[in-house]
Amino acid sequence: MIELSSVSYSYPGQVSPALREVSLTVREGETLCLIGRNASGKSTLCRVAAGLFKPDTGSVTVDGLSAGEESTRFEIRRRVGFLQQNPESQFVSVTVEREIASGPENLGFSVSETRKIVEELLGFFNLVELKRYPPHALSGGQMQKVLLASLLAMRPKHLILDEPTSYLDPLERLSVWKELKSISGLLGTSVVWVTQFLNEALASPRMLAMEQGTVCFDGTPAEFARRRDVQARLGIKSLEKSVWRGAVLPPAVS
Amino acid sequence: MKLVLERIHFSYDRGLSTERVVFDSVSLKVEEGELLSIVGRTGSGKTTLGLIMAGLLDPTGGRVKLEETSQLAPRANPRTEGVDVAMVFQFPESQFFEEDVFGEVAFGPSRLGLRGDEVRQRVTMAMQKMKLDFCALSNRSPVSLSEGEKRKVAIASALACGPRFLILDEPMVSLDWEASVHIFEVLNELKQNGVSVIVMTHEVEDAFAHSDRIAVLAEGRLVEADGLSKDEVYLILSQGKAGR
Repeated sequence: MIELSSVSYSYPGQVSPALREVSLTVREGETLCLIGRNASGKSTLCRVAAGLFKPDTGSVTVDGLSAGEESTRFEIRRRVGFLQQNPESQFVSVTVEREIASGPENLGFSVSETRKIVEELLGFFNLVELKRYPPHALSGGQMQKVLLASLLAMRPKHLILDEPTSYLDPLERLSVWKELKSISGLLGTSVVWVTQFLNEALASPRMLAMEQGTVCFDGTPAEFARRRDVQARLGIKSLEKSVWRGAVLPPAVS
Repeated sequence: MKLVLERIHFSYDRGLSTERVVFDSVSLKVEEGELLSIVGRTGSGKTTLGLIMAGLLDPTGGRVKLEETSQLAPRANPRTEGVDVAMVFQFPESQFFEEDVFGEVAFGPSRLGLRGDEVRQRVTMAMQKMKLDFCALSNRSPVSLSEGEKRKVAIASALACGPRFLILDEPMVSLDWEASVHIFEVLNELKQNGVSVIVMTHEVEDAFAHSDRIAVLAEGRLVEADGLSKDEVYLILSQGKAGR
């Protein structure tokens, strides 16, 4: 479980806080989608929840461990897989397969186990032909797939994914979304998924919307669909039109 | 002026065992004042094609050229009015040079030889077009902004250069709904002023909703989507067969 309790955070030198007294609980095995306008605090919330930023006030715990402390840092990193919005900034290895293997290796998985995991994930994400390529030479969408594979390779308990499909085409987004849902269901992994694609958010069991550093909605997609006031605050003039943006193949093709 | 690509061939790692042919014999003409979307799947070569069109990457075969036409009046001051081709990269951070947003957007105009008030005017205009709060953001470091704000700054930087051809690589990534709609309004306004806009995207819906023309990049080939329905374009993309 990830718990945020009255968390506030301001970036150094900034007058307005990026997060204002946010409280949130992500239960074991739960999937929730986080939406909101640009600069509403979504990425900051992700970083605080992942233990990368220590809040100015309030507290964050991951499975009962206090985040932001030196003593719990390794354990929290082991439990929480975090994908940043900009894929370029996260690579640590010189080839795709080394990148995927780096997490399990550092966590002490055996050679055979690591090899098996890497091969499975290369196959699933259609990266086999690219396994010897340097990650930075790939397309944006290919980079995102490598990073997702790298996170999954570590078998984390919680996944915090900041726009994990933004550089993928609609077909691949659907494929990744389905697979992540199935993996999280199978392994009981909780998933916090930030997205600008409403069709992804409306397909998840729980939605959170942020505005100016606060949570302005927390509920089901059906409840969100009824809340025209919240939609208006988020700049969504027509839910029906907005859903199609980024949605996958029309039924006739799929 | 037209941007013309003639039988472009490009491969990475040429001559090595890892050589990958991205495209073979791609030809295209981009007319003045049109909004062209080039749609393709992840890894299809959109960014590579954009870089070649912008003159930032040399093709391994074929050529790229700008052809003068008589449609647009020649620039009164070609050196300072603007550049011929500007590109907005897929990852906005990779095009940031300066320590603050003002400096970033001013970079292009100042390199054109503009000074003082002229630069400030260009920066103000470009930031206003992108709905970036001049007072709140001018002194901030571009890398401290949200991803959506970074993308808007990157686009503003290109607009400030006054290009004749504007190439945008996945410009909608990380933008919220309102911002996405607004970007297309800005691009349409540019088009009406004679600027040619080329959008590299995997969003077929956006391409059909906003473009004058669509071309599909699949399996190393580029095919015009004239007369094709949206479903047919999706089929080409899902099957990876373009013009075979």
